[in-house]
Amino acid sequence: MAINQKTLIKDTALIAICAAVLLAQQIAFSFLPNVQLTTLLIVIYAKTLGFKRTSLIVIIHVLAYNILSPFGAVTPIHLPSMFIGWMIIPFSLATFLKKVDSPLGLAIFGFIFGFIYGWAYIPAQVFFIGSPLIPYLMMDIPFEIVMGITNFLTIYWLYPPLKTSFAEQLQKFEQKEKNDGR
Amino acid sequence: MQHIAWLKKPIIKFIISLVVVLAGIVVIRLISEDHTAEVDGFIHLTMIDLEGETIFDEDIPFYQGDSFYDILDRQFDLICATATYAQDETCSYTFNNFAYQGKVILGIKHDDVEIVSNWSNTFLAFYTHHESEYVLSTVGPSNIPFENGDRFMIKHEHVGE
Repeated sequence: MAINQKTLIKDTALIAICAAVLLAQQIAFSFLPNVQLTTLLIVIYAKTLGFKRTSLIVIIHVLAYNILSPFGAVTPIHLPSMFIGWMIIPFSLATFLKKVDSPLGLAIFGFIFGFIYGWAYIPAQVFFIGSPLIPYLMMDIPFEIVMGITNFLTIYWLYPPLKTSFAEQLQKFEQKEKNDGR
Repeated sequence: MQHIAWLKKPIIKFIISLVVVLAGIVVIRLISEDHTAEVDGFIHLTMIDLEGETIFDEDIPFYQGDSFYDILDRQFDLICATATYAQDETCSYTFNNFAYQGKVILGIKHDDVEIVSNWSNTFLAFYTHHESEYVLSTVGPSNIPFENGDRFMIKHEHVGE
């Protein structure tokens, strides 16, 4: 088997495992509104795996979550909002926040992202569901704050050890790939 | 990177985390309003069944300290949800976590008037009159804000309608 094919298969497996971890924790935390490790994990994936692979993980995650969630699927109207919302992380970290790698800097980004993620649902909620804009914005603020704080705390405390551990595992994985290719 | 070394100290991280959490709690408390009546008055309520027929269209009174749920509870026989969303005619269960606070109403009965969700493919949609049209309420019946003369509509709807 050619090295490229092997790499492709290994990449596919890696993306599937990362998406599975993302899905499992989001379902595990579903009973707590806006409390999750999704932001932290996508930040780690974006910083270690790069934009392309993280984008694929996000696509799989959004589709799988909506199909498999035991709490009921998100309505199709909200699917684009969810996808755009999560894609903001890899996009930001691959472009204007590329150089940000400190836990505090990323934690502040995570806090702000909590609000932006909530706003991603506004078009669907206002134009398709018919919710009034201002009351909806006001009612969503507490949920955005909870998500912002969760993102801040998880990234600030867990980003350094998890990123180190994930990067080590990734290095071993890629090293094995090179050795197998000899 | 010496200048940011102090940020790595656990005690500093703990203090920063604590400040963020406390600030969040304070802001949430500040923007959370108590939606109970300050004076006595009336609201106008319209109820529409699954066929789209108006089955109730009257002014109903409220008294100081009432929530929107209290107004309905005084006027009608309500069927609420328990913690597991089973029907409960005593309405004794109140949801009390961060995202879901107050009562969930599954059905409303009054004389020959009755709209009851089957909690499978129908539900009671609560609308408030905003500017010139009815819009979906963004909160549940325990937290709907109201003032004297406000208009509301409760509509029995199919999911996805």
